[in-house]
Amino acid sequence: MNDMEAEQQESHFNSIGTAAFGLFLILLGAGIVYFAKDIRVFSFGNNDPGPKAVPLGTGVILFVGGVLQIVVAFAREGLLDRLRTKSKSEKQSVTKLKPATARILWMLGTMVAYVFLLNTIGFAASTSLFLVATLKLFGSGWKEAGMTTIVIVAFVYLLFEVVFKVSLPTGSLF
Amino acid sequence: MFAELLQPSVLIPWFLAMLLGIFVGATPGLTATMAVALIVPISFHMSPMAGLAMIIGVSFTAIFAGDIPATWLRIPGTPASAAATLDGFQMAKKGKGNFALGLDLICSSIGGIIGVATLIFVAPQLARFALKFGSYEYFWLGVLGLSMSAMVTMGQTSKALLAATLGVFISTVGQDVVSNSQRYTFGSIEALGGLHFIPVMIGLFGVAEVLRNIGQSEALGEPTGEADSSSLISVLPEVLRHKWCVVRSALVGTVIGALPGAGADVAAWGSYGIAKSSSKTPEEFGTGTIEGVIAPTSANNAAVAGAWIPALVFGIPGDAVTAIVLGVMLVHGIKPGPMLFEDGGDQVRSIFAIALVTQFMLVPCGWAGVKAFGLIQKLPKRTVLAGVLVFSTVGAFAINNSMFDVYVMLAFGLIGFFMEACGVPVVPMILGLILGPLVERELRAGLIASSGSFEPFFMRPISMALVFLLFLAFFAKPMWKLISRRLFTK
Repeated sequence: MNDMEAEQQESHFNSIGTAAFGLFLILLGAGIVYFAKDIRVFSFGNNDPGPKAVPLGTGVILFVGGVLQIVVAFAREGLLDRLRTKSKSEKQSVTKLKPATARILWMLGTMVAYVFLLNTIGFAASTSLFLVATLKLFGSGWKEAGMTTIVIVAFVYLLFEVVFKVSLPTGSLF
Repeated sequence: MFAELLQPSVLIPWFLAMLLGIFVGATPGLTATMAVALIVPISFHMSPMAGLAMIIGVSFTAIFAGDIPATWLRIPGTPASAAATLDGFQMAKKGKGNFALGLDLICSSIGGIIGVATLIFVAPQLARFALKFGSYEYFWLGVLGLSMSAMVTMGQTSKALLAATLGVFISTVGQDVVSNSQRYTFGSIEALGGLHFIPVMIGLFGVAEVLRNIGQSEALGEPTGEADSSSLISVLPEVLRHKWCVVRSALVGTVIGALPGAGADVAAWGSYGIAKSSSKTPEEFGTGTIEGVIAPTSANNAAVAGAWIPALVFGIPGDAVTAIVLGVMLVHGIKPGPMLFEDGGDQVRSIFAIALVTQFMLVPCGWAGVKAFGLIQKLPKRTVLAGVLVFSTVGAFAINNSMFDVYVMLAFGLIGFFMEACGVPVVPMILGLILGPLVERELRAGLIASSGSFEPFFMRPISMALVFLLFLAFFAKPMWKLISRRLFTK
C-alpha cells in the first residue's frame, strides 16, 4: 500500500468515526433532553437554576454537536464519496480486521459473563473460569493457563481480602 | 529537629509506611485517600512525630505511585495520575518505561520540595489569596480547566470539547445535592450517589486499552514490553535541561492544590495544558515527550504540598487526603488554624521538616516500586492483559464493595473503546467528570448569591482575569497566526 492509499484509508476511517460519534451524540443528547422530564424541580424562590439546568444544557450541546459532527463527516471529510468508491486496499483491510473484531467480541462476551458470574458464584470460581477462558482465547496452553490462573487468583485474593480487608464477592460457591 | 526525625523509632515506620503508599498507589482502584486511611489506625499507636511522618509520607508516595501503572499499563493508580497515561505510556511503548518513571520520580521529588518550600515561605499569603475566590471565580476556574481539554488534545478541538461536555453530563447523574432530586438514576438506588470517578476511569483507560490491544496485536504470547536499563542518574541531564518546566509546573501545582476543591488531578492537567501551549512543539505532546512526562508529575506532588496551605493556616482541607490528616493532627493534639503559627511553632516546624525529608525518601522508595513493577513487563502480553482485567474488575468493586461500580467500569470500557475507535480523545471526558460538579455547584451558588444576575461572573477583578485567560486559551494562537501572516506578507 503506498502512502497516498494509506492516507486515503485513514481518512476514510476518520470520517466513519466522526459520523458514528455524531450519531452516538445525537441519540444521547435526545435521550438526555427527553428524560430530563423525570427530574423533579422544587422552587425555593432563591434564583437557583435548578437540578435540570446543567444536564439539559449538556444534552442540547451534545445533540447539536452530534449534528455538526455528521455534517463535518459528510461535508469536510467526504464520507459519501468514500463510501461510493471503495478501493482495493480498503477491501483488503476490512478482511484483515475480521479476526480482530471477532477477538474483541469474544472478549466482551467473556467479560460480561465474568461480571455476571462474579456476583452469582463468587470471586474465586468466576475469576478462575474467566482467566482460563481468556488465556485460552489468547492462545495459551492448558498448563500456562492453569498456572497463571492460580497465581493471579491467589495474589488478588491475598492482596485485597487479607491485606486490605476488602470483602470480595462470595456468591453461591466461593 | 532533624535528629529526632532520624531516630529509628520514627524512621523505620515512616519508611515502611511509604512503601505501603507505593504499593497502594500503584494498585488501580486503591486511592491515595485509602492509603492514608489504612495508616491512620496504626499511626495512633506511635509517637506524634512518627504518626505524622507516616501519614505525610504515605500521602506523597501514593500520588507518585499512581504514575507507575499509568506509565506501564495505561491504568492510572490514582486520579492524579491520569495525565501520565499520555506521554509516560507512549514513552514506555517505545521501550523507555524506566526512563519515563525515573524522570517522573525525580520531578515528583523536586515538585514536592518546591511545593513544601512554597508552603513554608508563602503559606499565609497564598491562603489569603485563595480565600478571595468566590463562587464566580471558582466557576470560571472550572470552565478554564475544561478548556484545557482542547489544549491537551490539539487538532481535535471540537471532539475534545464534546467529550468534555459528555463528562460534565456524566457528573450530573445521581441525586442533586441542593434539591435531592434524582437525575437519570432510572430507579436505581446505587446510582443515587452518582457514577464514581474511579470505575469510570478504570473502564475508560484500563478496559478500553485491553480491548484495543486484543484488536491490534496478534502476538499476545510475546513479552509485554522491554524494560530499559535507565538509571536515576541517566535522567538528571534531561531534568536539568527542562528545569524551568519543572519549576513552573510545580508552582502551578502548588497554587492549584491550595485552592479547596481543586486537587492534584486538576493540578496535573492544568500544568500539562500550560506546558503544551507554551511548548515550541505542541504537536509532539501525547507521543512520548519529556515535557509531557515532567509537567503533570511535578505538579501533582506539589499540589499535595499546596493543599496543606489552607489546611494548616485556616484548618480548611484542600482535598480528601488532607481532611484525614487534619483529623489525625487533632488526635495528636495539633490544632490547625492561624493560632498554630503563633503558639505551636515547634509543631509547625516538625510538619515542615517531615514534609521536606519525605521528598528525599521518596526517591529510594519510589525506585524500588518502579523496579518491582517493571518485572511485569517480562511476562507474556496475554498474561498481563488478563491480569489487568481481573485487577480492574476487583479494583472497581473494592471502592464501595458494590457490583454497580463493576457494571459502570464495564460500560465505560465499551464507551472508551468506541470513542477511541472513532478518533475521539477520552481524556477530556475525565476532565469533564472531575470539573463538572465544581462548575455546576459554583454556577448555582453564584446565581443564588447574585439574585439571578450574571453580572458578577464577569465584573469581579479575578473573574475578569479568568475570562481573559479563557479568551486567550481559544483565540491567542489563531490571532497570532493571523497577525504574523499579515506581517509576513507585507
